[in-house]
Amino acid sequence: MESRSLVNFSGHQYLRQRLVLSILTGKNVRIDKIRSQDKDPGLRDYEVSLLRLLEKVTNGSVIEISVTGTAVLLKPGVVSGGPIIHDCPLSRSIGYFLEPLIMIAPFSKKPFQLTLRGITTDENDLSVDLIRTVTLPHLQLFGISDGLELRIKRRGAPPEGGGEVQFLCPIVKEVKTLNFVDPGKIKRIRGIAHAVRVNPQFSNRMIDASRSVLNRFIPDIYLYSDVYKGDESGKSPGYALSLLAESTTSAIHCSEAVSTPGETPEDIALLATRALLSEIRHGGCVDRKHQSLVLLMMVLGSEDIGQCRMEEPSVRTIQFLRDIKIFFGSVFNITPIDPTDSSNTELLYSCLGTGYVNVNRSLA
Amino acid sequence: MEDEGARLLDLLQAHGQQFLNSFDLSQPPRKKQRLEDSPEEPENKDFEEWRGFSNATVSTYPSEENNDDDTPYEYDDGFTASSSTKMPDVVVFSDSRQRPSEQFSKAQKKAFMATKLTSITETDGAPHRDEDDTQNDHEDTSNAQNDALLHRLVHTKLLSGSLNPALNLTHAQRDKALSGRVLELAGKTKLGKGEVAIRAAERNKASKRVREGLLRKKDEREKQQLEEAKNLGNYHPTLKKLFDTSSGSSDRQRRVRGLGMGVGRFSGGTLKLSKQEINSVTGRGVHGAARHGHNTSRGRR
Repeated sequence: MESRSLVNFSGHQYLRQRLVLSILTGKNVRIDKIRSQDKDPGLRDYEVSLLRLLEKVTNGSVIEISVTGTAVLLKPGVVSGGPIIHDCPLSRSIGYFLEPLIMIAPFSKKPFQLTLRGITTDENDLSVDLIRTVTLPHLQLFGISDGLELRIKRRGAPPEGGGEVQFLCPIVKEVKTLNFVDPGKIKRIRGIAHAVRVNPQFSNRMIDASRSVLNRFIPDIYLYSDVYKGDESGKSPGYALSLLAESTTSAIHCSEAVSTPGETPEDIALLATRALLSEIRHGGCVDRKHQSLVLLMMVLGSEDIGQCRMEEPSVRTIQFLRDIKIFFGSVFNITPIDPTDSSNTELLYSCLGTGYVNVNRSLA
Repeated sequence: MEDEGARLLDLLQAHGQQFLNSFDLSQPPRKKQRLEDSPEEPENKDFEEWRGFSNATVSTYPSEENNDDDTPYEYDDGFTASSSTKMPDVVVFSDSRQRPSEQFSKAQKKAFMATKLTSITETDGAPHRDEDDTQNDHEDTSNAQNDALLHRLVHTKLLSGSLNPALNLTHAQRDKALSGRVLELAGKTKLGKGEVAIRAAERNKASKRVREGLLRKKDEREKQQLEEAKNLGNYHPTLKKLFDTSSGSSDRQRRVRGLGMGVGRFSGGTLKLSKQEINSVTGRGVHGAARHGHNTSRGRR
C-alpha cells in the first residue's frame, strides 16, 4: 500500500541530484536504462557505493537494484545523521560523495559527523579544499553556520588515495530566504597550493606562477601552501592549486587545477588562474559549480520570493531545474538583469520557496 | 711630500685598474655554457630566482639577476689579457612576490585554513599588528589596571574587615585580625588562617606551662564543639576536616614511602636510577649543558 508517488527517470546522468531530491521530498524514485547500451552495463562501483552511503545516512530507506544493475528503485527514509564512517572507492573522489550529502545534511535528525576516506583531490569533482572554502560558505548564506566544519585529516591523490576528511554539519529547522542581487567587486583572492609526495618546491612554483598573472589586478592576494607530511600525505604523488576570489558582497568565484603526468607546476597554476579570471568575467553572485546547491536551497526556503543573480545555467543546472519542477512543483522565473544591454549575460533567478521544514530533527 | 703622496696614489690607482681589467667582465662563455646544459638546470637551481613572465626572455628557463641579454656575444679568444672594457648592462626588474603580505598574514592564514566556517569568512579590516606588540600592549595595560585595582581595594575593603563596629572588637583583637589579614594577602598563609597563625606564634612566646594549658583548653573546646554538632545533627563524616582538632593531620599526606635508599627508586626488586642521579654520584656532567632541556623555572627571576 504505497501512498507515496513514484517518479521515473532513465539514464545514469544526474543520478545524484535525483536521489537527493527523492530523499528531500520523500517520493520514491525509479531510475532505469542505466548504461543499458554500454559495454559495461549497469551501475558503476562508485554509484553503488553512493547508494550504500545514502542508506547509512538515512533510516528506513529501501534500495532495490535489478539483477543486471541497470535499474534502481529508492524508497527514501528519514535522514538520521550522527557519526558515520564510509570508505569511498578509488574511482571517484570524495567530492563526488560529499556534494549530495551537503544538500541533505542540514535536514537530518542528528547533526552529521561524517568521516569519508578516499581520494581528496581529483579533476572530475570539487576538491575538498574548494568544498571547505567555497561550498560551505554558500551554506552560510542560508543561515547554516554554527558548527559547520570540514576537517581535512589526510590528503590522498589518485590513484592510490589514502585521504580522510571529516564533515560536521548542524541541523536547522528551516532555511532562510536568499536575496543576493549585488555581485560587488572582487576585493581579495585567496588560494591553496598543496603538493603531496613530490618536491615541496612545487607548491612554491605554482604560487609564483599564479602571482605573476594576478598581481596586476588587486593587491590583496594571498596564496597559502598547505604542507602535509608523512602519513598524512596519502599514498600517491600529486599537486594542485585551488583559487577563490571573494567580492565586497561576499560572492565567491573559484577554480582549481590538478596535476597530470607530464605537466609542469607552472602550467597547472596558469590553467587555474585563467579559469578563475574567466569565472570572474562571467560574473554573477554564484559561480557555475554551485548553482545547483544555491537553487535547491532557494526552493527549500520559507514561503517568500527568493532572488539570486547568476550567470547562464550550465547543462546540469538546466536539468536540475526540470527535476525540481517534477519533485517540488516549483518553477523559477529567470529574467535577464539588463534587457537593454545585450553583452551582459547575467540572469536573475527568482522563485517562491516551498517552506520546507526539517521535521526529522530531534527536539532535545 | 705632497707629490710623493700623489704619486703613490696614482700608482695604487693604476694597480687597481690593471687588476680589474684582467677580469673578463662581460662573461659570455659562461652564459653560452649555461644555455647548453639548462634542461637540467631548473631542477637543481634554487627556485627563488624564477621571476615569472615579467622577465620576458626568449627562453623560459630561469635566468640570473644581472643577465645582460642585450649585449651580443663577443668573441673571446682567450689569449688577450683584457678582452673587453665594456661594463655589463645592469637590468633591474621588480620582484613579483610581495614580501610584506607574508609577514602580516600569519593570523590570517590560520583563520583561512581553519576548519570552522566562522573564522574563514570573518573579514579582516585593519592591518594586523605584530603579535609581540599586541602582547606587550596587553601586558602594559593590564599591569596598570592591576595597580589601580590594588590601590582601590587596599584602601577600601581588603584590610578593613576588623573595623566593623558591630563586632565590638577590643584593640588587641582588632590588632591580631589586621596582622592576620596582612599575612593572608602576602600569601604566607592560606585564606582564613591568618589570625590562627598569629595566635599560634604568640602562644609559643609563653612559658611551657601556659602553652600546654592553652593547648589543652583548645582541645577540650574543640571536642565540645564536635559533640554539640553531632547532637544537633550538623555533623557528617565528610566534614571531618572542619572539626579537626590537630593541624598535624594535613601533613600525613607527605609521608615518605618506600625504603628511601638516598638515590633512585626501589620497586619490584630493582633500584631505578636516572641519568642525573648517576651523574650526581659520579660527579660528572654538571658543567656541560647542565639543564638538558629541563629545569625551565630557572628563567628570569
